[in-house]
Formats: sequence, C-alpha cells, structure tokens
Amino acid sequence: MIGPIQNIITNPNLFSATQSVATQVSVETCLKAVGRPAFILMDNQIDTQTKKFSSTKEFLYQLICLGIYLGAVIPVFKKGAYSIAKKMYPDEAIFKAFKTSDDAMKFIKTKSEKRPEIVTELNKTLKEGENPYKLEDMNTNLANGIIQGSSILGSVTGLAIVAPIVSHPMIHPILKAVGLTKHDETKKENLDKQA
Amino acid sequence: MGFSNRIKPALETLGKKCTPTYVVVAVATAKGIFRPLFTMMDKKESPETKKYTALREGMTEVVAIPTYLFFGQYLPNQAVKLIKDPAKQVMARHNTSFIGVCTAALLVIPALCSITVKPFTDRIFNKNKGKDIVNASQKLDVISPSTEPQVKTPITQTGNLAVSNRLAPYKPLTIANFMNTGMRVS
Repeated sequence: MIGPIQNIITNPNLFSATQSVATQVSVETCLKAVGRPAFILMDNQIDTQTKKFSSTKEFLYQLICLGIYLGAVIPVFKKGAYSIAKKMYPDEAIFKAFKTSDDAMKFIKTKSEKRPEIVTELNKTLKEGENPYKLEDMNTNLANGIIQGSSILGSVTGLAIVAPIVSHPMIHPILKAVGLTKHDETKKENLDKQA
Repeated sequence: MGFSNRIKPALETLGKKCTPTYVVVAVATAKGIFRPLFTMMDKKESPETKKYTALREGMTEVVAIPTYLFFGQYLPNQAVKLIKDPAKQVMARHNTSFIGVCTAALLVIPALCSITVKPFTDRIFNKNKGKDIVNASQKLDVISPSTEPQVKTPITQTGNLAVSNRLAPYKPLTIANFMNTGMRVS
C-alpha cells in the first residue's frame, strides 16, 4: 500500500511539471471547473433546472477565470515584474544575461549539470571588453522568486479582483443564449406565456 | 539599505522553496476580502440577500485557509517521514503539497463548507428572522381583551341561511321568476 503512494509522491515528472505557480493555479482551476459542476449535478435536494443552471454557471465562471489568468494576468505580471527587477537589481548577472522572463525561466529549469554549457554560449555573444558571466554569479533563486512572486500577485489580482468583475456581465447573457435561466425566472416566463 | 535589498532575502526564499500552498492561501485571503465586498456593493440585490451571500462567501474562505494550510503544509511534513532518501524528500514534500492542495480544493473544502457554513449562516439568519417575528408580535396589541360583536339577528338553528329573511341572499326579480311560480294552466 505504501509503495505506490511513495512512487506517486516522489515522481520527478510531477515535481518538474508543477514547479511554476501558473501551472499550479491552472491545474487547480481546471479541477474546480470539472469537479464543482459535477458535485452540483450529484445533489439530489435541488431540482433539475436549478442544477443545470448552477453547474453551467460554475463551469463558465471557472473557464473565464482560467482564460483571464493565462491570457492576460500572468503574461503582464511576469513581464512587468521582470523588467522592474532588472532596474532594481542592475548588478545581478542573471538579469544582465537574460532579457526576458521566459529565457530566465528556461535557465532556471535546466538541470545544474547542463548550466555551464549555457553560460559558455552566453559568453560567446558578449562584446569585447564586457566581463564574462560566471555560473556562481547567476542568482537563480532571486530570479525565480521574482517570477513566482509576480505570478502569485497576478493570481490574486486575476482570480479575486478581475475575474468576478469581468465574469458577472458575461455569464448571464451566455446562459440566456444557451437557454438556461433561473428556476424562478422560468416560472415567471411560463406564467407570462400562459397569461 | 534600500527597499530592493530588504525584500531580496524573501524573494530568494520564495524562489528556493515555492510551495503551492502560498499561492492558494494568498488567493483565498484576497477572495475572503474582495468577494464579500463586491457582493455588498451590488445595488440590484436586496440587503438581506447581500448580507447572506457576503457572509457565506467570507465563511467559505475562512474554512478554506486552514484547510489549505493543513493539506499543503502539515500533511507534506508528515508524508516526508515515510521517505528516507534526502534527495527524494524535497520532491515528496512538493508533490504531497500539490496533491493535498488539489484534494482540498476539489473535495475537502466543498464538503466542509456544506457541513459548517450553511448551518452557520442559516442559524444566524433564522435567529434574526425569529427576532423579527417576536418584535412584530410585540408591536401588535394581542394582549388586551377583545369584546365579541353582538349579532342582532341570530342565525337560525338549522344553519340554512335561506330560511332567515334578513340573511337570505339577494335574488333579482325577473320575468322568469314570475313565470315559474304559481299554478300552471295550459
């Protein structure tokens, strides 16, 4: 019993895949988008119309959250934070060596055995008179901390502030277009038709 | 020592050890503040609905934060004890934290909320409703004795209203009434 659990929790692929905050939040949001509507549909205490309405609303909300998060918030915050960090720490070799956050992230994710090769290649591109980069000077923890910190800030802004504001005017028209309305509204509509 | 140097150690620690717990706790905290705030700012809803929804949203996040901390921080520390290899311990801590956070978000928090939040909010709002009913009844004059109105013409023993002349329902007199009464002579 303990053997398979140990294998799962020490899986290196899962470890490397879930290193970034963006991946963690995306996976969690996807699980919520599938799981929460499923829970609503399984509830026997509410009627079918309400179940359909609530589950579709929840699914759409999580989908909009994911879209806003991946499409707008994370790229903006990552790029912004990296360019601010470049100005805040102008002497740090890692910020001099890598122009974008994506390049820095690639270097951070590279295994430590392969990093000297990348540094050697970077030194080849330097102009005459410029000091060559050293592997010891590359502060990967600082660069990673800035990227992850900006992702956390982006997650908070995107999921707690932007997503509720943006999704509110979007969800109801979509639900109406699909033909789903609140149970009370449907009752009223039926009564109006009857009248 | 500038601002950049002050936050440098914190950023380095975050870069060295970025567990999924940090982000989910940060998001839950922000949601706990902003979601009830947005709900209370909604002008379309009634004040009672707004209060109920805001309380429920706030309570959900209050339940979520300790749950995330338990599954994302405490549980990995216990799981690491199963692994003896120090190189694998780092991986085990991170993976357990990730799996724990996902489980908490998907299963544990909805279950805990249905157990605790709904009864709690219902209790508060039903209490208030009960108070309102008591206040309303206190305003009404239900204590002072009332006098029975005297009926001038008593209702007949048979209970047939048609028997009493005064209480008989009004019947309009038409030609048909005259035509259908009396002896018929062909």
